[in-house]
Amino acid sequence: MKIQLVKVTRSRKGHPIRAESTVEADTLAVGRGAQCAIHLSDPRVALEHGTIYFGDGARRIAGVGGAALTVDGRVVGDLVLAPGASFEIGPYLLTVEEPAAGYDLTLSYELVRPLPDGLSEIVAKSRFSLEEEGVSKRSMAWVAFIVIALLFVAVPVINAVMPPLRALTADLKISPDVVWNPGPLSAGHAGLSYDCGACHRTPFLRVRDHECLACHEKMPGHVHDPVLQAQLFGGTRCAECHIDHRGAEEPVRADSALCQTCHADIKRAFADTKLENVTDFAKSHPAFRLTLWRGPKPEDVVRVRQTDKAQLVEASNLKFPHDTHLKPGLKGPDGHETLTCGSCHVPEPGDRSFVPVEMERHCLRCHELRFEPAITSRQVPHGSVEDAWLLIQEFYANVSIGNVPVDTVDTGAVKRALPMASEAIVTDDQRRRALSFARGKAVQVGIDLFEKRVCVQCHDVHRSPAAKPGQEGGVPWVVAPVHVASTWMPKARFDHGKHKTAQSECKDCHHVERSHHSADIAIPDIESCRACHAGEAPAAGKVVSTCISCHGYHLAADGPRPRPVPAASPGTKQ
Amino acid sequence: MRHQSLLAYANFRYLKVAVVVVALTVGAYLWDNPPGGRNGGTWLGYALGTIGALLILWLLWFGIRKRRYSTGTVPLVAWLSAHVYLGATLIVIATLHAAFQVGLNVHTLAYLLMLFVIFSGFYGVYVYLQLPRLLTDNLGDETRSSLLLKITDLDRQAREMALGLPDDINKAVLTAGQETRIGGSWRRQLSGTDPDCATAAAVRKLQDTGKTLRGEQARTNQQLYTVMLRKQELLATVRRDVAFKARIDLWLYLHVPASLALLAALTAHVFSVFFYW
Repeated sequence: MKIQLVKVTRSRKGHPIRAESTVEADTLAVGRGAQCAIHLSDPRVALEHGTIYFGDGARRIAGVGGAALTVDGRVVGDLVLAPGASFEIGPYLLTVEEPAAGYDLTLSYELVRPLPDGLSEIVAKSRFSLEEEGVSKRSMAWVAFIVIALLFVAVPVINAVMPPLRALTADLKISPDVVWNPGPLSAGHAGLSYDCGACHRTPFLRVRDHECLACHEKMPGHVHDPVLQAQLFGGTRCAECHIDHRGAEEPVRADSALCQTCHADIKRAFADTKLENVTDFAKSHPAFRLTLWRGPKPEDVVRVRQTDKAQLVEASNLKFPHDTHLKPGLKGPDGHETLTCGSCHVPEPGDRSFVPVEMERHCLRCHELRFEPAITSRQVPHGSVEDAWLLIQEFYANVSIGNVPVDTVDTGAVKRALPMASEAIVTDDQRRRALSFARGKAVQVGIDLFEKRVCVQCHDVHRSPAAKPGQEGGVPWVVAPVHVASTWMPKARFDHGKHKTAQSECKDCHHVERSHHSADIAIPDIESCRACHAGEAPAAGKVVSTCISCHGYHLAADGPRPRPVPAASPGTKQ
Repeated sequence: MRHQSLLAYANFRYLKVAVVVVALTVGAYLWDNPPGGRNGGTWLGYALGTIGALLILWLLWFGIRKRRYSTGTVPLVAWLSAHVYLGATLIVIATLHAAFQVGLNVHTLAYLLMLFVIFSGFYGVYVYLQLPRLLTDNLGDETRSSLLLKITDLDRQAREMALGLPDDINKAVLTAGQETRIGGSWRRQLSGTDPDCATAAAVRKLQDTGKTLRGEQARTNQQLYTVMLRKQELLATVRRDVAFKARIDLWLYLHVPASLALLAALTAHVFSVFFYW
């Protein structure tokens, strides 16, 4: 088989340039390999791509080892090489031409699909910058800006300015404007957390008083005097001091600066006040004033500064020597015993203060009220002179007229004096004599009980100007009313429980060991408190104490206070 | 003239300004003891908020100012130095403005976005100061285009060498040439690697099948292997180059969109405070 091979290349203008060569062989290899008779030097061609041979009366070509021959895009394994046929091997187009004279086969081949330029191929496949990946900084920036502006400006504003929409969203757990909430509302207002418009009714205007008073309509003012209320708070919005969105605590000001606005120079604001200036507990706080009782009328109650030693006495009308009671080894009903503070001063539940000392509960065990201890264990009732006197009178009347003396031990002392004790008292004379005896005995015992032996031990007792012991009717003695102070400083709070520390004892503050008179006052003065309490500024080993550590806001205000007058509008703030 | 970094500009002038600003802010914060506690709503809170907001607007203006190289009498490096140092003061100004209060709201969103912008800016400063050296160290005397030309040349050489080698090797080399790509997805650009690199696959292929060859083919294969290794090295260099550039790009991708997000959140923050005053 003699074959003419025509290698076609193209000139610059695209005209074909034919290079002819001749091979003679029975079979002919086509491929990339150098050994192939038809050498197609391109990596896309197999090393030995196909074989041309003569078989079944025709010249043919077959692919080797699955290498592809392509005819019009179809892959074929075997092809008859008839003139006019053309097929592709890799990037080459092979065409069977009319055999030239003296040849069995003329086959032309041309590289029709050369390898692309390597550089442009790499560049086309590569992405050298983030921007080439299709996302630009500018578009990302716009998206971020618009999303945030929509979610956090547009949506909440639309919700806020459309009342029907706000009504719908108010009950949602995530209402559109909750993202604006700068901080948790106080416990009392927390229910409004999803309804900003409840207080913030008008955009761009600060919360006005009438918006507060819509709920707090019965809220009293801060001070009693309506004139003073207007003078002090007339131009102040509620929300200037009651600032919310600061957490669950009550939105009230607890700072001393608020108190100092008036109290630092109280006389300037209120010339006739009895108060003194205060700025700080440690640096500038007057001596305590104790509220002391001087008599039953309201005007008898006086306030005495602790520095005024002459006036600093308690007029309780009770005789009570603390020193005597605190002596060790006192003689008690059950033998010798030693009293402590707690024997009489029992903390009330919660430890804040003490249960009032009561005669029956705390004194009676030792200080019995027996009026005839020789013959009876009976005692007169405590608390009412009238009841006690009546009991004594009845007791002796009963003894003198009864055949069997009531509740007595027969010692003979009374019985012997009774005339005709075994006979019935029948005559007026006998009755008068018995009554006379009973009265005489009662007076004698009463004088002994009230004036000499029992009552007078603790009480201020004097004879009544209206009745005499021997006369019928009336109560012959008056016991001065007892008033033991329990609250010494009603304008301040004091919690005994809080002052129970590992170091503290009663006597650290209350010096009663050497007190022999109930007129002595054992309330510690400001210097005692300052030993442990600093002012606003922290001090080593001391407790920082602000105004409200001890004082409430205008505490002890009783009776109705005037309603606050709403500040007219935010613009009128003075 | 000695090269002066943006940080050291004018003998650290703007660092000094920033230190003074921070000291004044902290001092004012400690000195002020408003009733009800420190808060964004006190006079100092409003003051710091106003300063912070104006500062943010001024910092954003840099994005516009930097495009106008020729305008103004102040050189751009001065702007940049001030941008960096005064931007950093916002960490203190805004934190004290908020008085350390955070919550699930737009105010904290603005604060977090601001911190993100600032810290992405710090990353940017690091990138600008470090990467030029890394870029130079990586490329040496080459440029990216010269490397790419060398790579295509190596591809051509390799293809010619592989013509005489078995089909699978030839195919691997052809694919390595045709499928060479650099960069690609953000991840590939930033990592500077390509797990599907056809060249790396061809190198592995040459190692494996090379052992079965003998004589002339074995020698050609050895030469081809060297060529492909060289190509792989150059590819790694170009990919590193792309990775460094991508890192420079990336910080701006973080810094710029976050800045605009911050502008929106800041607007919402200021607007909401006064809307519900």
